[in-house]
Amino acid sequence: MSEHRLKRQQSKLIMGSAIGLATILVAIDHTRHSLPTPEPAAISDSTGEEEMPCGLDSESPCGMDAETPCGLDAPCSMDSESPCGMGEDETPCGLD
Amino acid sequence: MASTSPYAPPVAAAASLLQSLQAMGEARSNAVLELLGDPPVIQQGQRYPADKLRFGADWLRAYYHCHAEPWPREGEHGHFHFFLPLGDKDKQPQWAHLAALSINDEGQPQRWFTVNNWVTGGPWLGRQDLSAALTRALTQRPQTLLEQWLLAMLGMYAPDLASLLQQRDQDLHRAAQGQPLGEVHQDRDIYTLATQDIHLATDLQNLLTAPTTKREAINC
Repeated sequence: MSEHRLKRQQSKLIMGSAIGLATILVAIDHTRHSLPTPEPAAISDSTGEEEMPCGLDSESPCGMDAETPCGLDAPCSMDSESPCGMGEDETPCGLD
Repeated sequence: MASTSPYAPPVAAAASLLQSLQAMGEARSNAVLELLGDPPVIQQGQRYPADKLRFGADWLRAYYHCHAEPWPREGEHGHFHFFLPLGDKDKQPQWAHLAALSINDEGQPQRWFTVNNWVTGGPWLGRQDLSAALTRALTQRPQTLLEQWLLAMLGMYAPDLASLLQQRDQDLHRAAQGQPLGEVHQDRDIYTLATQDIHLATDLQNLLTAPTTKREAINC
């Protein structure tokens, strides 16, 4: 490769990287906005060490208690398309 | 029927992500603020949106939440959980957890992580099944800016998610130590499994500038 072509290629490489990074950094920085501080969860009737956040169980569908604190569906969730039980023994496609 | 998506390959997904970031930046927003309304309010233990995000032509579902005591996750504001259907999405499928995306106090993605089965419930799918389901979902076009961001994040990090899921399965097998995996799935002492940090600027740069330089080099 000639020296001229090599310099031209290096110039393009540097320019391409610099523009890309600057654009990326600006784009990311413009989406940095403080998120609101989460408000405390509503007090539920269920208390104790078994409590978990983001409850999905039937006792407190939006409360603090759940067997699956991050589940998608729940017996009393708002999702009518939640056929899958959340029972502890259900792992129909598990590895065992 | 959705046309061929530009969001599946990581490079195209990175371009889509950058585009969504620029659009959100112009609106002084980010992915979480897009969810929370105006003024943004969030309560511990609630899912946002309450009825979940349904996107990727309903091949994907997700929600965002923040944990309350005693389950706060250190160093994060909250996280998205992503789920993929087991079976036909039109026939009341079960939804399997793919991964979660941790978000910091400035609305920036900082980490992917996986959790044990008891945390999310639903069926437990292996890496290959989840990756195949994700690939199918990523062929769909987004309908909103938030969906674009979510699909782009998933598409850009799809190879990393495959590795993360492989690590998840290895971690779980290691934790099992001979126990049936079904029991390990319900072990409340095992919460988070594999994690992977996100370096968004670097990752975008690697994907978006490398192809350009290669293309330029070929043209020289």
